[in-house]
Amino acid sequence: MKADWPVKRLRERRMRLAVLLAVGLSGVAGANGDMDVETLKLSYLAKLPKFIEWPAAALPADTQAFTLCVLGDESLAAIARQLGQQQAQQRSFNVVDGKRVGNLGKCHILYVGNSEEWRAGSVLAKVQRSPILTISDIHDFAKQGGIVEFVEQDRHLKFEINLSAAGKAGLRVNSKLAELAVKTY
Amino acid sequence: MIPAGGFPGFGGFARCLALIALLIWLQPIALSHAAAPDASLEEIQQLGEVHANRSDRLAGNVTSVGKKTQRASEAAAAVFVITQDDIRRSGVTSIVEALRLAPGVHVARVDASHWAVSARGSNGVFANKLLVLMDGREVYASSFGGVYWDVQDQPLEDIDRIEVIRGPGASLWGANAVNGVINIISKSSRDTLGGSVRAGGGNLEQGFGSFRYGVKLGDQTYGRVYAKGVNRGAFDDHAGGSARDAWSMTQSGFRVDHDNDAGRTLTLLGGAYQSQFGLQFGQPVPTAPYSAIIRDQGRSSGFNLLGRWREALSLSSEFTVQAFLNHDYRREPFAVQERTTLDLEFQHRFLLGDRHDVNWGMGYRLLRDAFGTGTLASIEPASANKQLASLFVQDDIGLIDNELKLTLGAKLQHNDYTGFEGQPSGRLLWTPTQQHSVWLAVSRAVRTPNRADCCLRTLRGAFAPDDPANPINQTTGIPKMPLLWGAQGSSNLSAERVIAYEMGYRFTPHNQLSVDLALFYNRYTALRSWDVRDFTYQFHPGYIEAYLNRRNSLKASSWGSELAVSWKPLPFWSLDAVYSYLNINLEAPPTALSFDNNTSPRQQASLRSAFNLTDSVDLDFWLRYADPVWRPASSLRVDGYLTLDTRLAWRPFDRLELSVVGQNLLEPKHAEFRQEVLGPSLVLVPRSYYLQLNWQF
Repeated sequence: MKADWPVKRLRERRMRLAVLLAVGLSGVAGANGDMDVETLKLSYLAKLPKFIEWPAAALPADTQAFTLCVLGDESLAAIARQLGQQQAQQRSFNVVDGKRVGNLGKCHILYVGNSEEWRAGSVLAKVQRSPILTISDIHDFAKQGGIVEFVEQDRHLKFEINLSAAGKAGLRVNSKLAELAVKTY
Repeated sequence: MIPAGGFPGFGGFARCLALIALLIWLQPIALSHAAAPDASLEEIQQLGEVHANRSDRLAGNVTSVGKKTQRASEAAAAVFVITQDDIRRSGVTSIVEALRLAPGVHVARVDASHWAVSARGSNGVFANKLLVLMDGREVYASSFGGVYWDVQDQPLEDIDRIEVIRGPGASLWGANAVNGVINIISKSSRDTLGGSVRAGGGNLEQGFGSFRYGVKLGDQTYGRVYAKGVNRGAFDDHAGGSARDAWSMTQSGFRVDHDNDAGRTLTLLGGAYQSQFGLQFGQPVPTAPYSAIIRDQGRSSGFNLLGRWREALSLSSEFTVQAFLNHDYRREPFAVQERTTLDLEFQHRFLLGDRHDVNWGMGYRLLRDAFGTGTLASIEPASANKQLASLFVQDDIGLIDNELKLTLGAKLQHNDYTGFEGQPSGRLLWTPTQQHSVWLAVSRAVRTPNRADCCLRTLRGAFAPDDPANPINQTTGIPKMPLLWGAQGSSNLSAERVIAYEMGYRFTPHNQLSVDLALFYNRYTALRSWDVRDFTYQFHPGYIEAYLNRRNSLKASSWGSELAVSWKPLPFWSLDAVYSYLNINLEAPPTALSFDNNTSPRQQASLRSAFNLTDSVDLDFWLRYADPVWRPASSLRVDGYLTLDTRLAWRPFDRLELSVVGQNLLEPKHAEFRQEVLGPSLVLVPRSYYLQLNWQF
């Protein structure tokens, strides 16, 4: 058994080297601050709900999972399923295909993919008085009455918040989060 | 800026390669790490500070596959998107040159102002199986087929993307989308606010400049105007002299966009151009040496206007109404043509239940032309009005949510040459996991006759009196004399048809790597041919003219594949590799003659590297290879070539970019294509360079 040790240690060392290298290199990426847009959007999606307060009727304290509906963007729905295992505010995500528009009332969060730009206005009109956090990267989404809009500014992904739309929906947006928005309505 | 930590292991090349291999597998780790749980406000703030990179190539949107917005990765067709970034970093100076970036597309420069562009075979200056649209406006020429690429341009920085679909797109786009559809899509004017000036020059690009200015016209209305001018030097001819094909073009245009909150989008765009180009061609003559080289100037001008109105009707339906007008004039020594196209289109999309996404529409087109007689071509009747009516329907059926989608569609068109033509297609997309997708497609498409097919008579060559191949010498009783021969259209026409079987596989292990493979088998019937037994004679004092009559007696099959790999090994480095293979078998009856054979290379490949040396310095390389064209041991053969372009750009300030670009660097000059008709001798593309300044304000 003892004879195995050096080999094992060598292997271990090699593995650690590889991992170090990996971390180092992703560190390079991190230091350069590069991430692809999809990953960024997902990261925002995972983090934003913590700073939104739903009415107790819509999100009872014992709710285990946020219902995240994804409308249109099929790939995003697939990625979001990975997000399903993630947690925000001690709650996980239950990702639902928003294609069944009749079910939107059950969503806590509604992500509208940019393939749905053509009907974004109609979707918003339908859900604006429901306690649903609407998020999209569609141009002028927040201005149209969406609550959070991702905007690209000089290679950075930022967001706008429509506070009055959030008010109409019965959601309370943390004021510190609102300060981070590049624009509020 | 060089990223913190410096460049990884450049000491040893092998080590570097190993690192790169490692990185491919490690990046997904970074991804899952990115979507970390419970967040603090600082973390959200940090997200706003990282550089947002475009995701992989397949995550981009396309609109040409289904006449609606969808992701390239969810399209059941061989689609490739050339992005604005690709165009900028390739160093190309015109739209047509940018098409070299796409797999399966053969772009060959015939001379300074003429290109042959096609997908999956059948290339030529008048390549007639590729449908090309600019912002939804068809620019396929109804006279001789094909596209006059010299006048299809605009400031490159205003292009959003170019969608290149190989394979039939006829069930939506209609006739002539046989081997592919190219849609050049410009940016909405809300994305082009402010000014942009581009100017430059070099040895071949002797001076070019473009100007664009965009303003906000109203609450949700934006507009821009632009102008572009190019002055391009002559190429070299076969003998080492100048091909005297220098040319210049100026154009200008505008675009206005209006969006309102209720889902109404109005777009109005238009443009005008004029160009002059030198050209030479060989004219068959009845006296020795039986061919005269004609050198002359061509001229062309035109304008276009397009209006589009999109409106959401409800949560589940929208309609689009579009109208465009095209007017083109072109004077070349052998033909003068004037064409006007008026096109009207209505489209309605609605979601039906949970599973159906239905798109249907109808269209009407009026084509009006007038031809002047040139020296070796004539069109009879000299002017004509032709009409085209269309009806299409397409249904995207979600068989299994997010996993299996079936698309059934068909377009029925009526044209004045061959009557009704049906062009159905069926497509199946299977996405078992987010990383893998497979698609299958079967479609039928037609290439409908154009004015040349029905009505053009043109000379193509001459036989000397003593030439044993001179058909007159094979006929007894007729004295020896020169024979000029040519081809002429026929009123007995059929559309060229294809049944295409395609499949594709896409693999995106993570956001930094995508692999896109397409395979196809095409079966063509009723391809255009000329029958060597079917002549029309014209007797002249001392010589005879003979014209072969047009038929549809050829069949062909082709198969091949295209592969596009896009990889971002490091945040500041991306690589794009493209390979395509094509094999065509023509089945011609012994008496049939074709001019369309073997005009595409069997293999093409390119490798492009885009490296950001620092945040403000780009270094780009683009290596390209193409097999020979006109393959059989033919006097028409053009050798294959390997060439390299490179670009170095520096942004001293945020809005100013200086770049130096070298093109076709590996050889002093090389040939790419021999014009299928009227081309006298091979024209060679020289090595070139240019300097460029781009200022945005």
